[in-house]
Amino acid sequence: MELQEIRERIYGFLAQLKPADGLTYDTELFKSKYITSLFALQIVMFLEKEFGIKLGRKDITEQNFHTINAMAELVQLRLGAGGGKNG
Amino acid sequence: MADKPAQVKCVVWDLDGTIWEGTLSEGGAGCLRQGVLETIHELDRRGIIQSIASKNDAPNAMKKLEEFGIADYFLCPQISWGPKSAAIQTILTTLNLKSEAVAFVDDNAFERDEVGFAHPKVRTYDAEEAAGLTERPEFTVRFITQDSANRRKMYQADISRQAAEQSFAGTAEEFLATLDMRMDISRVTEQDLRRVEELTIRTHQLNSTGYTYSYEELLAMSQSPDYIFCICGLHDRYGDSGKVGLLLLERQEEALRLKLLIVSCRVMTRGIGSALLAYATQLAHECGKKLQAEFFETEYNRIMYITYKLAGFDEVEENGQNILLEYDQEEPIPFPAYLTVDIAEG
Repeated sequence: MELQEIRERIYGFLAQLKPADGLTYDTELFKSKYITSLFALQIVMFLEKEFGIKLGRKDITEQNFHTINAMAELVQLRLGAGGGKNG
Repeated sequence: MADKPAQVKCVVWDLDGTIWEGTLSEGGAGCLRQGVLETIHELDRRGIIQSIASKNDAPNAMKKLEEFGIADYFLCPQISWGPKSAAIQTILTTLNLKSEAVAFVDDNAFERDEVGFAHPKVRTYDAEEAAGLTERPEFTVRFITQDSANRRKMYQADISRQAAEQSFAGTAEEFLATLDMRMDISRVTEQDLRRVEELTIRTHQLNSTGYTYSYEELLAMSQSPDYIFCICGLHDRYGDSGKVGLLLLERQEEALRLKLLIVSCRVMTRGIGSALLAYATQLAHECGKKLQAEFFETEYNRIMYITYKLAGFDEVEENGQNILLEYDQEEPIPFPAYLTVDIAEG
């Protein structure tokens, strides 16, 4: 799956959680307090369901979740490695 | 020693030939089956919630339940001509239950098998066994607390809240702000201990370590200066959710050590775990110690791990399923804006 498509889907989900004014793919989600840990949980669940991937303990780091771009790269990596289904 | 059977939290009833005699659509349902009414009342008193999976015409069946005066006992009843495995799935999702917490009672062996095939962990019982359910160990609770007696009403409030959320046009955060949520945090007292014990036994998904303590140990910790032992309640405009969270911290030389963080699954999406974690960081900050958290990985509690990690905790030790996390940020975590927190000093 193209990175762009993954990013757009994540963006769409985040915009449902919270008004997305000024949100970009590079916004620092934790530093800007856009994401609280309540929503972090929902984001992990969303990524697994939406992209059919399974995230391991080692995947759950602030580094992998601090921007939409970082999440999209993680998803792409797991889609490639884990043979997750598209769509 | 054999494992005790997991406790049943929800009983799903069939109607025709199970709750009442005969088949409603064939002019039956003249009376309830022997012992059923007593069982329904007793399960409710114990805080075991109940629902329905029946192949029937929904308006007629609900009317019948009202005539018998028992309609209010059942949460999200599933009455349709669809498969009962799907009805059970809807109940699991709506009430946020795991299948091993559910019992299904039906006089028809085919229906029991159909449910059992789709949900192998759901325990199924013949209608003949209905009157004796409350005698079985899996339906026995050690204590009946104020929260167990109110559990049905709390679930009912949850269902109303969910319906409001689904029809809400704004974002999830805006919805939370409309709830006017108030969390009260207080030190565990002896009066709380039964509910504390109940939470440690009933909660698997939002449980950081799964440690269980005896009543005596809990009492000792609640009175010891070496521990900070808190319980939290939650209230919002849909009603009182009761006591929904626990936080147990041990005072060590250089750190506060979080031994237990438990949040009732009923309030999973309302940020109580994050708020209790925020409170723990604030306590550590006040006494100038670092905050460490023990985590014991189980089949179910990954959500708790995610809560820690994305709140700014890092793993500092790992020994199989035993993990030690540490919060190493300068500033404590503030409480979320959508939540009003009252802290009772003690």
